[in-house]
Amino acid sequence: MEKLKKALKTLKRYGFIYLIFIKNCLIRQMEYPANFFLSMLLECCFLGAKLVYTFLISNTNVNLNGLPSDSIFIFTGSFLLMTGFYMAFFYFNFSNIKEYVTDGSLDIFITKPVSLQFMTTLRYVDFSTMIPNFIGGIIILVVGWQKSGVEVSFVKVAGYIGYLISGVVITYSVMLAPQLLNFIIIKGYALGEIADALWDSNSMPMSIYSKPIKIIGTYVFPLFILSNFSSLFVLDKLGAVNIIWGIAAPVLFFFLVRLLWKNIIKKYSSASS
Amino acid sequence: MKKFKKYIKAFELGLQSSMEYRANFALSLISSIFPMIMQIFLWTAIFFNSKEQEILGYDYMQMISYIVIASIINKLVSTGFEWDISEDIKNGGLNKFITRPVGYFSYRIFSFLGSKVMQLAVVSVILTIILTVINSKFSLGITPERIVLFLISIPLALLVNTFICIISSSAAFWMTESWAAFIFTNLLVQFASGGLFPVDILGKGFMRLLDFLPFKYIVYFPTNIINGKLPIQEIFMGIIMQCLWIAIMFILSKIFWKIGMKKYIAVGG
Repeated sequence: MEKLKKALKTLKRYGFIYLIFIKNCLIRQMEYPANFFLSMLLECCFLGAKLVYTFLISNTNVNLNGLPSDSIFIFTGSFLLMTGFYMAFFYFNFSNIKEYVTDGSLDIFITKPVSLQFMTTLRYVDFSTMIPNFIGGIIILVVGWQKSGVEVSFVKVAGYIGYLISGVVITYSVMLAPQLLNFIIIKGYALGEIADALWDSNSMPMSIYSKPIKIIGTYVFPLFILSNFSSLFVLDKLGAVNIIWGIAAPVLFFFLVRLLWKNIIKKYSSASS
Repeated sequence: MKKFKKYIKAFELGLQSSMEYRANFALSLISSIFPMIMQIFLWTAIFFNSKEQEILGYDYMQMISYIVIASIINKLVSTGFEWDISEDIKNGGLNKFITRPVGYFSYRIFSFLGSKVMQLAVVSVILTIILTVINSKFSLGITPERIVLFLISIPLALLVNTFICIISSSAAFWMTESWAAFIFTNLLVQFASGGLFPVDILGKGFMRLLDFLPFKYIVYFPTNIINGKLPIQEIFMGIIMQCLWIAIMFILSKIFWKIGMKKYIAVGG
C-alpha cells in the first residue's frame, strides 16, 4: 500500500513536470508565430504528398492481399494520427539526443533531480507538426471508415483507441532504440535517416509484406503495431494472437528500452571538456 | 592549373571527411533500402491481386525495375549541402571566402564532389549488379547505346540537383531560419523528380506541368533511359534539356548569390 502511494505520488509529480514542459514549449513556439505556421504549412505539404499516393493506390481498385482498396484510407488515417503523436511528443526529442551527447548537454541533465530518460526523451512537445497530422488523420480515418462500411460501435471505437495508445507506447520504445546508437556513433545523420525510413515502412498495410517480414515487424521489432493493429482491429482482421500481443508488446518493449537506456547510460562518458 | 590546386585540396578534404565516417555512410545506404522494399511489396501486391496486366501505364516488370533503379539513382544524385551553406551565411563563415582568393561556389562544389566520390563508387557497383540481374530476369533490353546515354545523363542529373541545392541555399541571405525553404525544396524534388514513384502515373496534366520544370530530369529521366521506356529520340532531347536547365540554373544561382551578397552582413565572425 505504501509503495502504491509512493508510485502515485511520483506519477503525479512527473505529470506536473510534463505539463510545465508542454506549457513552456507552447509559449516558446508562440513566440515565433511565423516559424510555427511555416512548420504547419510544411507538414501540410508532406500530408498532401502522402494523400496523393493514397488516392492513387485506392484508384487502382485492387484489394491488397485480402484488404479492400478503400481500407487504405483507414491505414493512412491511422498512420497520420500516429505520425502526429510521434512528431509532437518524440521525434524532436529523439533527434536531439545526438546533440546532447556531442555538445555535453546531457551532463547538465544528469544533475537534474528527475529521471534522465524522462528529461531527455520527453522534454519537447511540438504543436506545429501535430495539428495538421491530427486533423488530416481524423478526416481520412472517417472517410475510410465510411467507405469500408465498418459499423460504428463502442467496441470498435474503444478497441481502435486502445490500440492507438498501445501504438504510442510502442512508438516510444522502438523509435528510441535506434537513436540510442548515437551514444556509440558520435557523428552522422544516417541514424535519423534509418529512423525515418523505418517509420515510413509502416505507412502501408502489413498484408503487403512477405511472411518473414510480417513476423519480424510484428514480434521482433514491432513496427507494425504502431498503426496497423488499430486499423486491422476495426476491419476484423487482427486475429486472436495479435489482439493479445497488441496489449502485451507495449509493456514488454517499454521495459526493454528502459533496460537498454540504463545500460547505455552506464557506459556514457562526457564528450564536453 | 595552379589556380585549381586549392579546389583539388577542397575535393581531397571532402573525400577524407566521407572516409572518416564510414559507419554513417553504410547506415545511410541501408536507410535507402527500406522505402524501396516497401514499394516493391506494395506494387507486387497490387499487380498480384489485379486482373489487369497494366496498371497506370506500367506492367509489373516496368514498375518494379523503375522502383529499384530510381531508388539507386536517387541516392546517386542526392545533394544536401544547402545546410552547410546556410550555416556559413548565418554564422559568418563566408567572411573568410570574401577575404581569400577562393571562390565560394567552386569550393563548395569541389568539396561536395569529393565527399560524394566514395558514395558514387559504391552505389555504381550496386547499380551495375542490380541492372545485370534485372536485365537477365526481366529482359529490359539494355543496349550499349542506352548505357552510354545513361552514363551521360547521370552527371548531368547530379548537376541539375546541385544547382537546385545552391539556389535554395541562397534563401539563407533573406531568412534567418531558412530550414523551411530547404525542407520544402527537398520534398518538391523528391516528389517531382520521380524518386518515390514514376511521375507519369499522376496523369498527362501533371507531366505537362513537369515539362516546364527541371525536376523530372533528376531521377525519372535517367531511370527511363536505362529501363527502355524512352525512345532514343526523346533521350537526346532530354539530355539537351538537362544541359539547358544546368545553364539556366547556373545563371540564376549567380544572380541570387550576387543579390544575396549585397544583403550579407557578416555576422558571427
